Amino acid sequence: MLQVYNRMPSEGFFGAVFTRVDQALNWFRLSSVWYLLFGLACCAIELMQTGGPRTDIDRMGSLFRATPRQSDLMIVAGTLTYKMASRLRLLYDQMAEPKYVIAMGSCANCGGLFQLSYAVVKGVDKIVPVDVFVPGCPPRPEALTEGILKLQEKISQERFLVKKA
Amino acid sequence: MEAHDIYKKIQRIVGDGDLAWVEEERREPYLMVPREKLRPLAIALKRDQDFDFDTLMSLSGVHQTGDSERMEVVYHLFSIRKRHRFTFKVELDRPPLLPHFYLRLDTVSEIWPAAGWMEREIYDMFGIHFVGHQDFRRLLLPPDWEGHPLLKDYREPEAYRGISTTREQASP
Repeated sequence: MLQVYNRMPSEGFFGAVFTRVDQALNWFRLSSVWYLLFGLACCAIELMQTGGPRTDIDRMGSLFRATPRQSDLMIVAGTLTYKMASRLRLLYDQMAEPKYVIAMGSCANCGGLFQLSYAVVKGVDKIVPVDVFVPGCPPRPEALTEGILKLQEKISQERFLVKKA
Repeated sequence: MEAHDIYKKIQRIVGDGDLAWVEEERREPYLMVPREKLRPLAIALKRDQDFDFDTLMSLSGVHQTGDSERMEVVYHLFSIRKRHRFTFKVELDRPPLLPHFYLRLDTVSEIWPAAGWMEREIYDMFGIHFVGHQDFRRLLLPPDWEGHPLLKDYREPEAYRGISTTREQASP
């Protein structure tokens, strides 16, 4: 993606980077995926662990934000009820483009253990478009890290400057 | 006081009519109370110095089906000062025609303020109305929810606010 030239100054070349604009844009975006704090159930504990020092996703540039206006990514961590669904949609609508959603855990994927309940939404993809599904009940911090890496892969292949047909 | 002694004193205060004392093995004994007697009984249990029931531990609803369909509301009381407990139930009929006209009961929320939320939850889950409650609406479910989900004949609707309630198979 990037070609980096960084020779010694004595050779008369101080350093230059050659790339394409959309690839550079993607590189900036995927290196600063800030996620919204949106813990709904026990998955939130694993989400906290993922942000903690052991599985530090800050090294991939992911940082938690307490407001949707500063977030690029929404990690839906936990069981979503119908009463919460309208709040989820509101928070998603408040996020600025480009925005991404990770459905974390069985409950967010399909209702999980609680899918026979009258109050639980059978998958958050009924409410918002989901980019990455992370299975597990709850997923380990390593699994969520893998999910964020997959999302970075997806962002790196986007072509923002290409006119869509 | 023991539960049976409490029952004996209740008989003297509220009158014997229609009260039924039920004692079964390995279960906490309880008193069946007709719905008209609920308020005088609750006031007596709260005010009387021998009872002194200052805590409503639990207030729950039951939907019984089978031989006879009926609803029950169960009151679990505890006295922190006297350290004794007491259970009583109120039985309600649930006729198939216009059940919400018959599922009505006096509130005890101004006698035990803890009953406020629990009565709202019973209304939410079973559709029993508590007459005289200060702020009577659903507690847990959204206000536009249809039906009362802990009733035995509750059927989940196809969709709620346009969100389908079934998980479709993923297309291959």
